Amino acid sequence: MPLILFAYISGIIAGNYFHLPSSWIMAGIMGASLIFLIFFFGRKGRAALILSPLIFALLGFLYIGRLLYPDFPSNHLIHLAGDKRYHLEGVLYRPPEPTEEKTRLFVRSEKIYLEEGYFPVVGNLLLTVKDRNGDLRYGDRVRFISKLYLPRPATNPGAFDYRRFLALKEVRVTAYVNNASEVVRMQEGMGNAFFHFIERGREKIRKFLDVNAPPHSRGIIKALVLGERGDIGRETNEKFIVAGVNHILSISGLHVALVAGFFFGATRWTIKLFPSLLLRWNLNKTSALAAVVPVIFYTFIAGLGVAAVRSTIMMLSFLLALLLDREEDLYDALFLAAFLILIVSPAALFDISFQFSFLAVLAIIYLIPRFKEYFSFLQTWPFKSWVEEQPRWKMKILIYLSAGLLTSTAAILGTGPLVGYYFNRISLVGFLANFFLVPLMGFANTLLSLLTALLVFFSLPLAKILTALNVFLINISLGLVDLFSRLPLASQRVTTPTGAELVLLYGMLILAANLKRWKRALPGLIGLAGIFVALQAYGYYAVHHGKELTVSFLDVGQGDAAVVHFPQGGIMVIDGGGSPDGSFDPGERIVAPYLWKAKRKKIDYLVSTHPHPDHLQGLLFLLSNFRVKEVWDNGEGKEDGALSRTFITLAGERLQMMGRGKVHLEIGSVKIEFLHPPLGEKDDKIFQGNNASLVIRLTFGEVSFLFGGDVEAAAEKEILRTQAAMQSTVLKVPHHGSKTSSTPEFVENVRPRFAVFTVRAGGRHRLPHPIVLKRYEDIGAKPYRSDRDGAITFVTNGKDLRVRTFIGNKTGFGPGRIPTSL
Amino acid sequence: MGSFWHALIEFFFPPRCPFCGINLAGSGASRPCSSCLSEIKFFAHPRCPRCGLGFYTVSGEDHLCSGCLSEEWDFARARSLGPYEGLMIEIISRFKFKGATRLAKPLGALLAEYKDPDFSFSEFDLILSVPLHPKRLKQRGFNQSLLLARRVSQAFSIPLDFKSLQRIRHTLPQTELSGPERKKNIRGAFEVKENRSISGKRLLLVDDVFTTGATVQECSKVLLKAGAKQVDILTLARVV
Repeated sequence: MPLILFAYISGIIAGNYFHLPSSWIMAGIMGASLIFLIFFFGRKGRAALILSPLIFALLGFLYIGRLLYPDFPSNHLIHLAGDKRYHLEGVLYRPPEPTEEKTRLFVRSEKIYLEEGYFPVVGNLLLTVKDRNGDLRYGDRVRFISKLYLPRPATNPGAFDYRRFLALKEVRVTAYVNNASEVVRMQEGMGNAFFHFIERGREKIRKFLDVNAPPHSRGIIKALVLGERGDIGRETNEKFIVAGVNHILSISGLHVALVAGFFFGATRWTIKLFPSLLLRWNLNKTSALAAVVPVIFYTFIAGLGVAAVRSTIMMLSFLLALLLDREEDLYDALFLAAFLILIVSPAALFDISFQFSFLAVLAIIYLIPRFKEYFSFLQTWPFKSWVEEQPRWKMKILIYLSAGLLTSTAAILGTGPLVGYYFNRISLVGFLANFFLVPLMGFANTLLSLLTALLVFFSLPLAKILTALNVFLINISLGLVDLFSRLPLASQRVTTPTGAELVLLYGMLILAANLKRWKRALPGLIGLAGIFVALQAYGYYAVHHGKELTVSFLDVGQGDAAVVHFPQGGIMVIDGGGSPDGSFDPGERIVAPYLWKAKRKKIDYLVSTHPHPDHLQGLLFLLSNFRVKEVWDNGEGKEDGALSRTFITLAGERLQMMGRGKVHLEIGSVKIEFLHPPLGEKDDKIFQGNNASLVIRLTFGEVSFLFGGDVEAAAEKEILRTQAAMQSTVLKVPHHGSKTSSTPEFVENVRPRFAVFTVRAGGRHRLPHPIVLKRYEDIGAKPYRSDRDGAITFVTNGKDLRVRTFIGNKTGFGPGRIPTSL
Repeated sequence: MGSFWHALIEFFFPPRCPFCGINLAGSGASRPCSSCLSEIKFFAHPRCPRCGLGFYTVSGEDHLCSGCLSEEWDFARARSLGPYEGLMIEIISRFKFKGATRLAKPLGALLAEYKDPDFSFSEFDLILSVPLHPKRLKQRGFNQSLLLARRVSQAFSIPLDFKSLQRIRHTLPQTELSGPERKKNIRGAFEVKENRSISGKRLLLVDDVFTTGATVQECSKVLLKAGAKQVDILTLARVV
């Protein structure tokens, strides 16, 4: 069983990295199965046994390949993505998912309406409604008008791959409407009757909570009962992550065990009232049987999240083991759960919550028995006599407390490296916070919330009373979470661990757990720790003794963000990108992951060219999450805009105004010149807005980079007037290649060999402007565009210059097969 | 179909040794592994024909032990699989005190496999188990002796009776007392509710551990008084 699971997972992982035509694999599976059957019926059981992992490995390979590299039929939605708006009809095949300010609808498309009539189409799409007012339900048939988009793949190192994320959910196309009234319900009740039944139950609970629980508690209760986290709010969510208690909000083993335990216990207690029953029935088996249905029901009410399903399968396998008189082995149950989930949905392997959920449980069942051995000294003198002197209740409490502490320690250690990998954060207060919050929130609040949910169907007054009590306790919990998240050193930012580091960390953990069991564990542990430290030291040395200057222009859509790596290890970030409505933070989602992936936690120079959101917004996240030494800006925007006020506050005394007239700097052997705006002429208001952008030039040996900000014609003229030599190797084209900028004189004088356009794919502005693009091409500059190339990275030793783009081939997407991971 | 189910269950719940948990995939299910079996000691001859106690001497004739020479037993014979030692203590305590009721199956199977030239299961008309007081039953949730007895009853298709013999007095746990105290503690604790069902029958009384014999002696006494023809005792282990 573990072998087959392992083979299956290997198949899925292999299928993730390379692709073979499915017909080949099918042939392989057929062949292997045929041989299997021959052996099996030829009574060569052992030989047959060897083949089964192979069959499962191939199955996994085939299965994931069909998700990642499907053959789309000719009427698939994916061929409709583009500029044209379509009138579409389809059925909501999942319940709507409300997020903080949006609603996400998963639509299985059925037909499109064209002038000539309607045509059947296939394919799932994710329709984002930009408000939360809808009353749509699972199984509604809806109609709407929207353009269809291909989700963005990752275009920057370390960034999230949305296309792949959705592809694994079998969603290939996205669409947007501004408000819920644009999605018209045509018909109700499509889909599965059982799910409707569940959805009605969920709706009733949801409505009760909307009326009877105050906003801040509502989100928590909904998360604990329905598995919906949309109402919790970003800020609260962040606090839970910092305090390391985020897992309590995602329905998992803790919650499922609580439900099972409750019904198991209640049944046990009831049966015990009738001793004659005890002689006939097996108490545990009967109670186990009684717990089965509520556990399954809860999983459905909770929205079938991966962690919840994993826990339920594990729980059911325990209960089943009890019913079948089998030795309940935790590993068997865990592997069984993993196997079943992956058979149903192999993509779950790449789901973060799947990984966390399994790793946490694996760590708990692997580490706890081993950790306990380290406390065996309690059985020896002088501790033994002390332990024996304690009253029984005191020992009971002590045992309970230490069990809780051990469990949370095991889970934190087991998931820690992965938390670092995904969230770049290690919560240090987690050990302490879990100790308080698991009993309070994980048990008390969860139990109360679940009982409330149950009572909603039987007695509203009682449900209200419970809610009041629950809200009171939630307030205490939230207070504690707030307190823990505010503690100094509550959490530590960490850079993204590499694969090798993850292997080393887990290797060290396993060895550390087995110090008492394996003779060579200690030298092994010291060895691995040595390698780990050596790797860190080498990485540090390599960064600080480099001979090359690296400049990366990141793809932040419509906006600018560039990262400069100086030869001696300094980091400069020039602008951080930003989105018009502020809903997507490129600082958090693109620039920070890029830096963490590059193993950097420190920014030496944080530069804001001008305080427009598409340049400034992302810098705020960097300011609060990185060690920033110096902050430079163009001196504009002290008063205007909340964004720039926050920026100035966060920067504090680190802030310096830069501009023409500032002495040139040397960082390493890189010369830094400030070409614009003129310092000290601010009051004249000659240069404002885009025209006041800070323009910087870096020169390293024979290679130079000119960062043009958003300057327009007037500022370009001023720059040309004041600068003698303007020629630069690489130019960040001013104002995203818009017509307002890049005057022929400017282009002629800068004469870049490479022109970098920071533009958004499918953006409204249709940048770069064709005339501007042509101007650069005419002088022989090679254009690079962030919308097509992704992140564009230049590496130079002062003489030679290499260019690397994140998206390798520039070819667009043709019809037919779509590469889903680029 | 049956074998398919069996294979499916084996796949998801690989058979494990019920005692040590080692994976036994491929071999027969729910049987203890050979290393556990070799760790359990079984009585052999010579032994006391009355109370079944095995002697340490390797050879010689069976003969009454010193206890049986001085003690008056009401039961005909008592038999135990082996001494209450080592692994047996651990397994029984898991079974009895930690609620591992699934151990009833392998332990019951061990009982049913008990072989002795002068002890045959076919001579019994009815199987009984040492009852628990309702209070204790509520506390523990099951009667370990009944679970064992049920297995034996199923193995030989001998009827099982868990109603006739009852414990009417809540006594201190025997495990906390010494020999003479035990006798006193248990006196008058049992009662036969239904004489009809046992009168004239040959009974096998099953219990988990034979310590001083006080409990089974007391049971035998009331059973014989109620008209049973003969009472024999079978336990997993006995204290030596």
